[in-house]
Amino acid sequence: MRRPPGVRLVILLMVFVFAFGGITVRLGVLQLRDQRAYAAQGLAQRVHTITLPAARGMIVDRDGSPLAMTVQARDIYADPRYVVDPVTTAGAIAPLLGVRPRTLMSALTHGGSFAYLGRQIDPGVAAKVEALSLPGIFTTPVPSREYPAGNLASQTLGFVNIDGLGLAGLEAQYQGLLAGRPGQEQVELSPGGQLIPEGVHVVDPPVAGSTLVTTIDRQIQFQAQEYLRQAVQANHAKGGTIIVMDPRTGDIYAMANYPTFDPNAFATANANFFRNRALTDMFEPGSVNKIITAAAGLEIGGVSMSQRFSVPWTRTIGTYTIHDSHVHPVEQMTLGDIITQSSNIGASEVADKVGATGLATYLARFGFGRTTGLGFPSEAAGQVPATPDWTGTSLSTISYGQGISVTPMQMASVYATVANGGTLVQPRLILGTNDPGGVFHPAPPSPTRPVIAKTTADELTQMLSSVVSDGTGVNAAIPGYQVAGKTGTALIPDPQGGYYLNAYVASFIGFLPASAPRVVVAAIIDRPTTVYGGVAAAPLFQQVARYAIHRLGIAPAAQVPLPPSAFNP
Amino acid sequence: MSVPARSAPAPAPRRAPAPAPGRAPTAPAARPEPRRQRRPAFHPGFLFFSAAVVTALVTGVVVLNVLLAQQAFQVRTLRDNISVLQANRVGLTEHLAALSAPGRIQTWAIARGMVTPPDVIVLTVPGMNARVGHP
Repeated sequence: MRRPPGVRLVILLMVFVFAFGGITVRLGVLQLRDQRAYAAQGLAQRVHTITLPAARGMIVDRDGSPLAMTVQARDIYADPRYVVDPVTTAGAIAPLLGVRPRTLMSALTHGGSFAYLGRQIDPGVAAKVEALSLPGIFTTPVPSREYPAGNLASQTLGFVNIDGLGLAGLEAQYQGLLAGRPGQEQVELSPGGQLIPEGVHVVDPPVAGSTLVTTIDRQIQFQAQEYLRQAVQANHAKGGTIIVMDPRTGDIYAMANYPTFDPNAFATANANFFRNRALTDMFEPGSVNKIITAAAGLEIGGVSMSQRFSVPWTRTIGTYTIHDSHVHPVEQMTLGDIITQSSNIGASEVADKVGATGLATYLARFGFGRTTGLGFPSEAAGQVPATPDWTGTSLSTISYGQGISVTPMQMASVYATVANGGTLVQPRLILGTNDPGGVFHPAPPSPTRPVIAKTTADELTQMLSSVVSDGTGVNAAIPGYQVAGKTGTALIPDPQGGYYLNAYVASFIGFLPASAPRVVVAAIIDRPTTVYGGVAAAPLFQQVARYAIHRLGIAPAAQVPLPPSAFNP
Repeated sequence: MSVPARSAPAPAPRRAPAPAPGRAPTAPAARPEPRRQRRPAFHPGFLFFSAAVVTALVTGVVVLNVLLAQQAFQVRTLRDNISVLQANRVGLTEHLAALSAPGRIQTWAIARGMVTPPDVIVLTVPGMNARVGHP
């Protein structure tokens, strides 16, 4: 029996109604309820966010010459899925990258979709790799930190890791300033990876890092390093440190250590050479510390410049005997003679007049026991025992620089204070910054504080001048200039107790011209076979100071009078 | 006798009888619908003009789209060029710094037999704010 056409039509109508109703409902769900989710999903498939790395700021010397800068290099990587012939590919690339083919084989055959073959490769080398047109081999641009002057001031500059994070030195100290802020770019790409030109394009530009303008003078730094290397080698020493600074501003022109390293290849360098030992390592200063004893003697010990001390060559304190560096009969010495001849016994006699509390006060006033304020990573504060911990011999030994530890920079700062008329100017390594727009922002002037009176500083300068003209520091003399300085020959403490036999730190720290100081140079040689500061370190001081005269255009100045002497009344 | 066939003449419309005086008027008889007239076709000029306008609009939109796309590609290319030039500039700066590094200059000078002078005397010229011998 056939249904009437009307019924069939109604059924067909119902089917269509349900079908279109279903479609309508589904459309409603997609277009209304889930619209945002699907739109976002679609957008996410097309829109890609690319991180735009910020250019790391340069580190330049005081004249603007780059010491550290970021250039573009290329990473070379493989997608092993598309590498047709790993053996041939490795054989073709390995010579260009300077590695063995076997090294690359593991990367090309490990089965993943990404493997580095070389990182931060020179663009020229990367271009040669690209020219090979090997399937599955790609390159991508990446920033690379370069130090164009090689090992110049390497321990001061420090270095960064492969991801641009400062690991040592100024690179680590000013990481936030140098790194800048990375940006982002959103672009819309087709499924094939092509850019959709009229699609989404949002750019949050990166902010480049600031340029760090240091107080370093590239020329003085280089010459100081060269002379230091020669001095260490000539004296068969273990190492050495040299500091050149302006006593008026605290600007550090040069700060060098030997042995050193090339930060361009720090990964293959000896990690022991990374330290900036001028700031991180401590040494017992020896006789260069006598200048503090003399300052305390003049200001609180009631010692006058013409006062005479009876100085034997040995002195027994309890069960401990201290002595001068050479045998001599009991001599009458002024304070100037004690400094000029570097008498340990004379210094201990001056210290007796100052007392432990007085000497400790002056050590602290000159900055011992705390960092210099440079903020350099791992800077040491030095070690000065508290006076209650001083033994019966401490006053005497500390008076000539044994029994305390300081950094070379702390010791240079002492002489800079004397050169600056008794006012300590905090050392500094940064002149200012250049922001990404090129505007220079000067660093605030270094903090200053009075340490000793101007008259005391003048009298100390006279004594230090006598050291170079008539005393232990004659090898530091420079024709035409009056140099003021002091030698030091210090025993090196043995961690097991006592001091090493026949191992010394030789030093000479001074400034010139004596009457109008422009530059302070601290030369320190670690364990020279020539032993004495006047032999190993004073010539190094002289070489570096002479170059500083040329470089800074320092003219000779008036002579300061020499101090009263019992030897030449 | 035969007569030529012709259509019967349409009966003359009857005139409605004049209403009798004093009688209510009656509804008029339904008038025959007037023959529908064909609307005149669009003027060919109008058609041509419309087609031209539509074609021009479509073409304009397409051309504009292509131009925008081209401009976007050009902007992209220029941005890439800027990046390349900036990278070149940095590379040249680095090259210059390496060439002017004191160590390289010293090596170069020593290789040519140059020596540093034993003494450079710096003199202050009286009355002048200048120094002779300043490097």
